[in-house]
Amino acid sequence: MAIEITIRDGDPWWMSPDIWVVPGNDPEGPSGVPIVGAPAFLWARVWNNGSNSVQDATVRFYWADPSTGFDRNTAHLVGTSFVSLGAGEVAETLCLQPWIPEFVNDGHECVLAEAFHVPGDPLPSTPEFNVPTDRHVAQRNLSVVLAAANGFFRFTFNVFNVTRLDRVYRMTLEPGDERQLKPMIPTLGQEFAGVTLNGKLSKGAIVEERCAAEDAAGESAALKGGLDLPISAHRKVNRTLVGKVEGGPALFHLKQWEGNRVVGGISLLVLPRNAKQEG
Amino acid sequence: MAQIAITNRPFASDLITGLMLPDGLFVTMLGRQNINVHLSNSGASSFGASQVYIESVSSPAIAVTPRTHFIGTLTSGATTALSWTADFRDCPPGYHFVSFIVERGGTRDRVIKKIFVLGLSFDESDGSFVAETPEGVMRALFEKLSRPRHDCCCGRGTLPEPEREPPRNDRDPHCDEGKEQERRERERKRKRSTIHDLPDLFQRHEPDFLFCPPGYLPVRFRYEWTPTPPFTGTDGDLPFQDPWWKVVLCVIAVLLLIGAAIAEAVDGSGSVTVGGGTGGGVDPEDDCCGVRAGGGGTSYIAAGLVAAAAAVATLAAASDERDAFQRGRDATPPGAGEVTVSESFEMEVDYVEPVTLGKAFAVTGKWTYVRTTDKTTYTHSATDNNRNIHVTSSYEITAPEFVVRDNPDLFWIVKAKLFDADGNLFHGGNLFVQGFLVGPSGEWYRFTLQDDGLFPDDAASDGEYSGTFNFRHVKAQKGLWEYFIIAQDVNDADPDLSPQQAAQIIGGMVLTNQLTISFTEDECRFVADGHVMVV
Repeated sequence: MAIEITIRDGDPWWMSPDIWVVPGNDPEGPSGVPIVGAPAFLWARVWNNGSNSVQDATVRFYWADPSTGFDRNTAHLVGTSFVSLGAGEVAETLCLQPWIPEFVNDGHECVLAEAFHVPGDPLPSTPEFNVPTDRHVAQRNLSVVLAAANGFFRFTFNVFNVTRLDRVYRMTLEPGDERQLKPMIPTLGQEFAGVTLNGKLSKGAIVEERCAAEDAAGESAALKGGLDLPISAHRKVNRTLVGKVEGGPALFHLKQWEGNRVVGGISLLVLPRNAKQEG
Repeated sequence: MAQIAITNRPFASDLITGLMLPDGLFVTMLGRQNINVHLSNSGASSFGASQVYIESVSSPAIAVTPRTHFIGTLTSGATTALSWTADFRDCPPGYHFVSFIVERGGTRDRVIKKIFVLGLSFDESDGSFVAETPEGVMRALFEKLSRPRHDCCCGRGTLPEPEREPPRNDRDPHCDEGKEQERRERERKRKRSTIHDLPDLFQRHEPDFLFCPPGYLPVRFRYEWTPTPPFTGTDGDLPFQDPWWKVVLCVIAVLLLIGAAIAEAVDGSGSVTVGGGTGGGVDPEDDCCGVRAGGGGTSYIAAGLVAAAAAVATLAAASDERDAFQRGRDATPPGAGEVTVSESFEMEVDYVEPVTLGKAFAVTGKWTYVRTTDKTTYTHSATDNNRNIHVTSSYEITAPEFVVRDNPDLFWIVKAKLFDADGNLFHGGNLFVQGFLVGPSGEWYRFTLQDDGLFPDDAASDGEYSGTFNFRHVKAQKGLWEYFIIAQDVNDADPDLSPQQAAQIIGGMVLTNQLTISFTEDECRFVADGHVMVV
């Protein structure tokens, strides 16, 4: 193809290594985790895998509340940037319009970036992002969760049925591995450079109670089959994942299935707090 | 090691006249403007061919038209000017940032530069311009402008009205056509333009445009500052923490004249629009010469130069160097426990010599500063004799007198050398130099002259600015064209200077001598730099 603009997906697809956040007032500062209410800047790595160069391709940056279901019309546009790329080139692109993260969905927001050129390589004409199938767009939906010193953690999330029909979604929690996390490390922040995923989930449960205590977490094996969530059309339900990790940091993927198809998800990097931090 | 840099602050030029705005400030009221930068190779070695583009801007309300410039090898010390168009009409006033990418051989340098966007509104009740800033409200009014003693204006209504919403076709069928026409006429009269319409009033360079402003040079102006909150002591916060009130006055002078000229040409509303409707406002004084400009392109150049003259005259009267407002503050210390609730500065300008752009003309400014506190009023008055310091001692322009339009191998190349007050050559990024061409039928074209060592310039930073224009490309009409080469100085203040120090360095003033506004002749001297016969 003459021009093939791409922002890569991750594994799973919402863990794109090509989108990251620089918190603070310096857009060229170190990458890290955004802080609610404080400015942050979004970056994207854009590739031209085509055989022709492209001038002034548009890159749009969004944030969205993953619990509400979103598309190009409902996601929040943070800003726009432009990038010129030769054939086979890649460039890091900064969105200079600052993003002030809001406290929605218990603080779990995802960011998206899409790159395109009109008329050389336009976007599909649908409002849906179609992240896993559209190379123009990628998503980063990774939350860092600090566990207690004993490894207990709690993570509240929403699941939204964006369709006009009632649906039953299956939620599963799957362990992640270092191969999946490694591409994200350079942009997660310096403090994550030495993270080794040697932790395991010893207990876990998805419960309705937002402030569930540690004893709500049952044997982690109970999560293996997943949890069916019937949700009426255009409604959302709120659930809390409670669990306990042992042995160190761990990565999990909370996946939303519709039949045999993954329609959404979020990944959690759970970091046990050491006794000193706890104090 | 080559090092690429954008040495000066990016600066604005307006699309109507093509000239840089005072101090390069961006103005919401003008809508679309050019973002210009000087890109320099400050390293010791050459910087190979590269591409440069705007990556992003810090406000989504700045709508950039994307463009990638391809530039050849910049030798050590070379500086080249680049520009992009952006719409600022919805931009919140204040500081913003622009990031530029310079890409060479797969290596990308990012340069983030600060710009300032001035947001002004026009108060039609008294003809003043108002800017609300976090530190307070500033209000400026040009109460009196000089005006040609012989009103030779024939430019009213020479431009087509901008496209407006089509009328609704829902009139009462019983209403007769005559009454309907009356109603339409009343509505048309009500829709007289205001300066807020400027981005819509100007749509393109029209060959029928005739220059006819309501006034030329400021004779009396007034500046008021209402701090929020009131402050104790001698000095309070300045708007955007920047002592730039003189620049704001210059910008207003430019807006006033360009806006009025365009409004006048569209619907004859220039004098009322800019002068403040029926509420008074600008009171022109019939005492200066008039500019006789041909239709179309020459009139746009005249508009730009008269606006530039108003700006530089304002600046000369208020002085770049010694801040009269600050001297007023220093001379009126409030009593213990008093808070300053407002300050005003009024100046009456006496032009003791003809105002020639680029010359050290003398002006006398009689001014009064008034500090109003919660208990009393303090006043300080003075008379300053100042000279314009934005000058050239001389300049040379050379260009062929003939050009063969359809021969692609023959280039029409203009070269310009300009000398500063001490006789030293300006070079590289010292200046923003543009050429303006006016065709036999009023066509208007603009091009940039560079001292960057890239074709058609022979050597970088040697003080010879070169530019070329492709008559074949625009299918130029054959005949006699005239050209103007207009140079403006650039604000090259070190970003590390304090606001007070930086405020003494003001750029964007015209240094070339095409226009003289005198007070003894009927017709102002307004001359092109040369002519070229297109065959």
